[in-house]
Amino acid sequence: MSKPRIAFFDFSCCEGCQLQVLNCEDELLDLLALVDIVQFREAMTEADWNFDIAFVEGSITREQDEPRLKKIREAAKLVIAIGACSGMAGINAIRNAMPVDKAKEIVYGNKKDAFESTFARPIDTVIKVDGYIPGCPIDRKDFLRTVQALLVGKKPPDHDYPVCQECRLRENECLLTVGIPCMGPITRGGCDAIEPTFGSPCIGCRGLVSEANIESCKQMLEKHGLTIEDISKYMTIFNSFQKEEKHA
Amino acid sequence: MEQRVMEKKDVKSFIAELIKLYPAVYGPVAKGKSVVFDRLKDAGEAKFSYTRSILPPKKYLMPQQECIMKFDMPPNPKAESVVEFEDQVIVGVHPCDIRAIKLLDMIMNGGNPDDNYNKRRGHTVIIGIDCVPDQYCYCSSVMDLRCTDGFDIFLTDLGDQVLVDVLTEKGKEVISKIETKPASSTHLKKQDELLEAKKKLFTAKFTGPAQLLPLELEGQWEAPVWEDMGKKCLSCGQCVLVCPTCYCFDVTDELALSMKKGDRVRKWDGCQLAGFAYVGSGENFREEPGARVRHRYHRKFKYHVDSHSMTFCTGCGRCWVHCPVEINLVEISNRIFKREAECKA
Ligand code: SF4
Ligand code: SF4
Ligand code: SF4
Ligand code: SF4
Ligand code: SF4
Repeated sequence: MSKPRIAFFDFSCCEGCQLQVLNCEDELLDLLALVDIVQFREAMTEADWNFDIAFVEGSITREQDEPRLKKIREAAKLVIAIGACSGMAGINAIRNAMPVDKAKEIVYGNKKDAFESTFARPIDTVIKVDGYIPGCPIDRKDFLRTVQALLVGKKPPDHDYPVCQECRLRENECLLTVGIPCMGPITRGGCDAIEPTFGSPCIGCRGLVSEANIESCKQMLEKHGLTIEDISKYMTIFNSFQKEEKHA
Repeated sequence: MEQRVMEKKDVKSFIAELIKLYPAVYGPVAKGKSVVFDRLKDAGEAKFSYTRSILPPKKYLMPQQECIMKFDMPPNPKAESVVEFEDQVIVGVHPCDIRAIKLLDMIMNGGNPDDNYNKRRGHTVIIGIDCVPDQYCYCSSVMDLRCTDGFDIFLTDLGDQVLVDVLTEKGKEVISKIETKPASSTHLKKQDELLEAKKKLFTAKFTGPAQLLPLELEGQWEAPVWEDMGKKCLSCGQCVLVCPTCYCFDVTDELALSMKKGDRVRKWDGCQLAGFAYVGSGENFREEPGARVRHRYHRKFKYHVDSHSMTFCTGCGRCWVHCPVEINLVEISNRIFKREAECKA
């Protein structure tokens, strides 16, 4: 039996998630025993459009992104969104709160007219997506677990539990108990609580758990001394697109 | 039970001796502003004047995550159960956590004995110590303050001396490593006085007897307290993950990247996490956070009291300290005692 062929694609993003895949140094040989990588701009030059699984990084921000994304969908048996940009528009969506022209001016200054850009969206607003690997950037173990699940025909892990679960199992001192506001209680886990483990609060890069009690969480953060503006900033670093959808 | 005294200045050399004699000695050590149980490499590391550790010492009997089976995939499938344990001493365990271990012993030896837990438990020496409550401790409302079983030896600080309650053969063996004298009636009187004084230190209290809660709970299934708490609850799971008497876990198979072998792993889980009662057919038996809070409460104060005649909350206060929205079982209990549901009707 021939090995499944996998390919990587990127749209608007920092390509940090693909870097995480390359960071799987110890596991890369084992991974290549299981799959053939046929497209990976960050690591190889040749491009082959015959593949089974497409891992797509980045948000959709230009009209010309759409046909390229649709072509990927047509070629692939499975499409997996990797990273916050691709799965939920992540940081890119922050600028949706202002007119496109203003955002372009802030970023490109007087060269703004040379760049095309529209609303930032997750890829599932354009095509059907078969799975998500959340995070900014993704966790490499999570990437490997997802590949394994796909190869045996299982649903990839969805980590629909809060960051607090893994944080508590690691016996970190809860930041909330020492007066530091943290988004862990409503943020999807799977990162092994990497931020709180090193003393910084979770800022929600993996998206919200499906049953996030946002109202109560806001009140809690307010009790921890955050102003309404702070809270709103906290909640929109990564999660503004999700919120807009919900309130639409 | 035998009661002896040792000089307080000898405590350190006693611990040092244990570290020499046992493969693993665990005790309370500082972590940031908190305390955790950790392996003692040096007797000086132990911090005995603490109130509560982040996770209870239960983690040495039932680790947060453990491999319970190793397996090979077809074509030559094979499975072998895994039980890892070594002789260990846990020193500095407070009465609430000693009681919790006693409760776990009961559960883990029930209908379906848990081999991994029981093997570890059999290789464990428990050295208890007395403590001073803070505003979140409420053991005095749910258990006897005098610790009479569940430990091997128990140390009470009498000032310059330490009273040693020796309960078991294992206890006799460990205490033989250090010089002690039989306790006199003065020492025992001092212990009684300390316990009396401790009673007065609690600020968090139940307004009724905890043993009556199973009765009090009747007719309160729809009491407003559940929905009130459910509205606040973030379903973060901290309360059940820090609880010394909780024992729920999830089991997953983790394949090696070769896809040829793997580990079956169990990991702590708990009923306040939204997905806990989610089943294969796609239903969630406790979809509402209020129903989950109610379930946890009944697990602590009704179901186990009915089946084992024991209250399954030791009043250690961990869930309260860790709850981001300050949900606590003292407030809930006192609302139950008030029978709000009926007052409303
Ligand atoms: S530090 Fe953050 S993630 Fe960790 S337990 Fe506390 S709230 Fe949860
Ligand atoms: S702790 Fe939060 S912000 Fe950090 S990686 Fe995990 S989900 Fe992202
Ligand atoms: S709950 Fe009771 S036994 Fe536990 S630490 Fe507090 S005072 Fe000690
Ligand atoms: S329910 Fe709370 S106070 Fe009671 S034993 Fe568990 S963690 Fe401690
Ligand atoms: S710790 Fe508090 S907020 Fe978190 S699940 Fe428990 S009761 Fe709910």
